[in-house]
Amino acid sequence: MSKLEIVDQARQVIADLFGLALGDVGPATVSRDIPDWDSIRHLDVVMALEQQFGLTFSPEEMAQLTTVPQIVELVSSKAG
Amino acid sequence: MSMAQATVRAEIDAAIQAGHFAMAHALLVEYWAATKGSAAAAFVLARAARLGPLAPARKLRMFVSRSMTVEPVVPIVRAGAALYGVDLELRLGEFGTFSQDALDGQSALYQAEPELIVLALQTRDVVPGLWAGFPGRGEAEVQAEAENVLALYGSLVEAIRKRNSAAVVIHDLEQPAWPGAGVLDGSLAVGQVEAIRSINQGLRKIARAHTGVYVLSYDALVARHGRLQWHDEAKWLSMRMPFAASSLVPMAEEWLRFVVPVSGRLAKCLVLDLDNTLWGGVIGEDGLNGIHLGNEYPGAAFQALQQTILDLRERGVILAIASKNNSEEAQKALESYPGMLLRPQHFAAVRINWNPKPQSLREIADELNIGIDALAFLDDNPVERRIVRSQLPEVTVIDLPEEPLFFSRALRESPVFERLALSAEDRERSRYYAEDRRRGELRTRVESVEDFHRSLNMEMEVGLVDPSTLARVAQLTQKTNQFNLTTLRRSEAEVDELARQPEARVFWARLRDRFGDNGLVGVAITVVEGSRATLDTFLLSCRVIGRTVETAFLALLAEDARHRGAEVMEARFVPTKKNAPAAGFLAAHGFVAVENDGVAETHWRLELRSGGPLVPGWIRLHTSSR
Repeated sequence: MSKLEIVDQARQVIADLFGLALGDVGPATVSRDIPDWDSIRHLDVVMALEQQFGLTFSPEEMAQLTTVPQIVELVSSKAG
Repeated sequence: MSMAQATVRAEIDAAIQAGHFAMAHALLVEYWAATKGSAAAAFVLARAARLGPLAPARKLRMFVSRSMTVEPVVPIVRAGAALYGVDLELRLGEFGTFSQDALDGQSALYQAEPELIVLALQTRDVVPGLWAGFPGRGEAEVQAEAENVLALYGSLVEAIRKRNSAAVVIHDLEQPAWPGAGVLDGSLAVGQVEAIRSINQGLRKIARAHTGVYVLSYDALVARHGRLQWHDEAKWLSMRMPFAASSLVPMAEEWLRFVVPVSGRLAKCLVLDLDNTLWGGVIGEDGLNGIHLGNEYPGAAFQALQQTILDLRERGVILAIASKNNSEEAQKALESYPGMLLRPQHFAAVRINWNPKPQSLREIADELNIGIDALAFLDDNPVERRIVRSQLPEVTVIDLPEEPLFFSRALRESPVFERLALSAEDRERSRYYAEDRRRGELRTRVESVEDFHRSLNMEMEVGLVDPSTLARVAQLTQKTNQFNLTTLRRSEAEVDELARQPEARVFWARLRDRFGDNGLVGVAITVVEGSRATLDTFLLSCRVIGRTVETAFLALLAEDARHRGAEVMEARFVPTKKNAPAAGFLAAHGFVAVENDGVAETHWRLELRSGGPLVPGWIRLHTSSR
C-alpha cells in the first residue's frame, strides 16, 4: 500500500468516526483539531485503524496515533 | 476505503437525496454486511437516520452494567440495530459500580428506564479468587467463592426484578485460556474450569427462576472465536478492554441477538428460494439428475443448510417457498429427490411460478395471515435479494456469502429467529408491527423498479462468434432451456458453419453488473436476406432473465438488421415444456403475431422501420471490436 493510499484511508476513517466530510480532515490533521477526539474516542480511532489496516498496535503505538502524519508513519512502517 | 465502497456510499447518498428510501435502505444493508466495523458504523448510523419513513422508529433503551471497557462496541451494535429498525439508546454504567447499579433504586440504571439490561461482568472482576492465584486456594475456599458470586448475581437480579420488567441478560463467566494449575486442573477435587462451569450453571438456574432473565453465553462466544484471538493483551493492559479489534463485531452481534427480539422484531416465516439455495444447480436447466444435494461435496453444503432450516422449524419458524420455476419439476424434486431433508409437508405456503419474488412474498404473507414484516427471505442470488430489499424493506433479507459451505452459518447468525418470552413482550411486539405496517404503506408507491435496474450497474457487451467464444456459444444453444425461443441445438461445427455464411450472424452477449462478471449469457442468430431478417435463435441464461437484458440484446439485433438492409424481422416461438418464461417476449417487444392457426409454433413479425425496440437507459451496451 502506498503512503498516499494510507493517508486517504486514514483520513476517511477519521472523517467517518467524527461525522466529518473527507475534505475537513487533511493530511496534517491532529487530534486537537477535532473537538470530539478525546481520550475515550481515541480508543475508537485505534480500533477503526486496526480494522482498516489489519494491524495491532501496542500501548506505546496507540499513544502515537493522535495525528494523521504519525498514523501514516506508523501504519506504513508496520505494513512494510 | 476501496473505489467500490466509495461508489456505494455515493449511491446511498444519491438515493437518500432523491427520496428513494427503500433503495437507500437496501444499499445500506448491503454496505453494512460488507464493511461491518467501527468506521462504517458511524456512516450507517448517520444515513439510517435520514431514511425518512424507513429511519429506525422503534426506540429501545438499553443499559449495560459493566466491569470492563466496552465503549467501542456501542456504535457497532447501534448501527446493526438501526438496520433492523431499532433506534437504540445505550447507556453504560460506571466502571465497578455494577452492584450499585442494580441495588440502588436511584442509580443511573433505573434513571435510564431501560427495556434491556445487560450485566457484562468478567470472571476476573466478580470472582477474582477463581481467576488469578487459583492454585493456592483450597477446596472450601473455592466453594465459598462460587457461592458468593452466585449470591451476588441472585441479589442483583432480584433487585432489578423488584423495580423493573426489563429483559435482563447476564454474561456468563469466561474460562481462562490456561487454567492456573495447568494440566493438573482436571485432577483437582474442584478445578478452576469446573468451578467456573458450576457458577455458569448456577447463573442459568437464576435465569430460569425469573421471567425475562437470560444468559448470554460469553464463554461460548469467546470460545467460538478462539480464546487466544479474542483478547488483545495491549488493549487490556492499557485500556482495560478485553476485546481485540476483530472481536468488536462479534460482541455487538451477540448483543443484537437480544436487542432484536426485545424490540419485537422477529421472523415468523422463512421463505426459501430453491435453485442454488436448497440444492446446487438449476432444476429447469440441469434436470433432476443434474442437481447437487446429498451427503457428498458439493451437495453436502445444501443438505447442511436444509438441516439448519429444519432446526429453525423446530423452534417454531414457519417455512415457505418462493421460487421462479416450472411448478411440476420443482414439486417433483421436493417430493422425491433422495437428498432432500425438507419435504412438501414442511412448507406452509408455496409459490413456484414466474412472478417476481416481491409478489410471491406478499401472497405468502396474505395466505399465512401474517405481516410482511414477519418474513425472512433466503436466496443465493444477490439480484433477487436486492429486488426484495428495495421493494419490501420490511422483509428481513438474509445476506448470503458466495460459497454455499457458509450458507448454514449465515442462517444461524441471523438474529430474527431468536425467541424470548418477555413480560412486556406482546405489548411491544404489536406496537412494532403497527408502526411498520404504516411505513410499508408509505413506501410502496414512491419507488419504481427502474431504480432497482439502475442500481445494478449493468454493462453489456455484444460480439460476433469467433474461435475464442465458439465453444461457449454452442454450449449455450445445447443447454439453455428456459429462455429460448426456438430451442435449436447446434454443435460447435454447426455454429461455425453457420457463422461463415455471409447472410447469417451469430451474436453472443456478455453481462457484467455490480455483483460481478456473469460471462457469456446470451446467444442470438439472425439471417438477413434482402429486406427480411429472420431471428433463428434468441436465448438467455435464466440467471439474467427479468432485468431487461433481453430488451437491450434485441434492440441491438434490430439495429444490426436495419444496417444490413432489413425492413422487417420475423421470428418463431416454439413452445416446449421448459420455455414458458420466453412465451411473452416477442409480443412484449412489438412483434405482431402472424398466421397462427393454433398449431404448436407461433410466427411473429416486427416492423424495423419504426425504430424500436430501444436499449433501456440503465444498461451500458457496447459492441466488441472485431
